[in-house]
Amino acid sequence: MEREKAVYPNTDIMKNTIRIERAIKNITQAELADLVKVSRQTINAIESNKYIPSAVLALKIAKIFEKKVEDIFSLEEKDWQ
Amino acid sequence: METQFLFPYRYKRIGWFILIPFFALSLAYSITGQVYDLPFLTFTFQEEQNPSLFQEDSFLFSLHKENFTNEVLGIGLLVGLILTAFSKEKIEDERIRHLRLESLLWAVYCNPLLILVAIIFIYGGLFMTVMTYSMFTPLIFFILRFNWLLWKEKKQSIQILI
Repeated sequence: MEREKAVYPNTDIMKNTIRIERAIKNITQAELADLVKVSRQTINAIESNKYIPSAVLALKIAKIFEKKVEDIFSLEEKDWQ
Repeated sequence: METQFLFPYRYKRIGWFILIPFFALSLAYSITGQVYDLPFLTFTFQEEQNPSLFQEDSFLFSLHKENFTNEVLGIGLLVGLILTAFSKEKIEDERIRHLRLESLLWAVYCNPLLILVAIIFIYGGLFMTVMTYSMFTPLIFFILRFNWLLWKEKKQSIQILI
């Protein structure tokens, strides 16, 4: 599978599809941040693969999008090191 | 990491208001070759048993003068540093906790390294001065590093804003 290296700065750690899910549900980063009770910077950092959320936060985000956690977050090779 | 030991957010501003003047004053106090002591902060103690080097003998009892400017400056600086460093952010979430922990580690890493350099390259009275600075540098490093990380992130998030 081809990786989209142009879009995200760091694709070696856990990838997520939050940006796509947000577009589907048509909510902004700020709105998502309010729903899961974190700051907007945190959502931005997660989408930019700069921060790996805790299990609780990942579960909350998945619940908001009514999907399973594995559908939104996927492990990469570097996570295993 | 639980944030039960952090001050509420409003103390951060109080911390900055205390920190900045005391930091400037302490810097001036230490950098100027002549130490200026505020005259109203000089108190005299009566020493009864052990005569010290600073004894001013009068005939009947010995007096010992001590100036408290440096103590006041040190206390103000430390209180300002503690309030600024250990106050909560506006929104406390897990990323901030992670960044704070990383900054603390970084600051505690840097201080011994600096002391190492000082031990090797600095001697005498200047070494003592540098050691007194090292009382404050962990907190200073932490404040600098933590706020720099936050600023860097803020700047990037403004650029990537969708």
